[in-house]
Amino acid sequence: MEGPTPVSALIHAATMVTAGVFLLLRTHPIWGSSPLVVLVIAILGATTAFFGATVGLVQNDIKKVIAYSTCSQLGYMVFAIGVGAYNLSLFHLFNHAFFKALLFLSAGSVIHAIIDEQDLRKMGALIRQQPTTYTSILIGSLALMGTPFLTGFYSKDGIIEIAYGSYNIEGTLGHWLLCLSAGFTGFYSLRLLFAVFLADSQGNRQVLTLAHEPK
Amino acid sequence: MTLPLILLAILSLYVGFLMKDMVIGFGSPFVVFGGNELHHSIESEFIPVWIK
Repeated sequence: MEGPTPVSALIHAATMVTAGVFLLLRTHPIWGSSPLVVLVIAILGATTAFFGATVGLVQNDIKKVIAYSTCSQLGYMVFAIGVGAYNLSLFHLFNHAFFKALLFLSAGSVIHAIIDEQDLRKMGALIRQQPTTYTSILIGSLALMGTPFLTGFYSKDGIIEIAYGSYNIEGTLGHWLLCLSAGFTGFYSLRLLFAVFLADSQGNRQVLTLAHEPK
Repeated sequence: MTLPLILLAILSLYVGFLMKDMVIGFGSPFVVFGGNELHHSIESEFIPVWIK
């Protein structure tokens, strides 16, 4: 699942990785009446969400952080399918497409501005050079974290509530794992934001002075 | 490059609010491939307030 940043925006937000979720949604009449399959899907979704969030915490590549956050959000969608909330799963897929495309395109803008450097540890202090990109990543991250009344909130909060409201073992497991993942999501999104825009610069001074918004 | 960023930023802000009633609204006729989630979506309205 690697490619140039605009391609990443396309495959992560809309077409490739979410196709599995769509396939599950589309085929639910086939497996939907088997309790075992439904249980496996719910547990798989919840653990994927948790796994993606924890791996995303420790990545140093800007695109990998966003890619693992996609992985985590896909876990949310698969879990929602597993507890029977098909509408909610499609809604999360739809919302996720918007803010993940925004995040990937903004990441592309950052990577381009500092001459193809993707390492978070060599970035910093780009807020002066790239105010529009900073605003975009801020809005995308806030939506991803599920800040109330932004896009991600309505679907993510719905999934977590339905997890609690299903009153079975996979629902309770999902509720715990998804709440923890939501916390981790907030942490790695803010970490990315601080490392790229607000922290002191760790990169080449000449590169930093020439950095600008893409034309 | 700025234009798509601004467009997606505005959509990221508002799409959830605008589409909520249509996609997951209570009593909405929007049903995904014949799925039925009515049971859970009503149940989740009655969970304890401190969890909500």
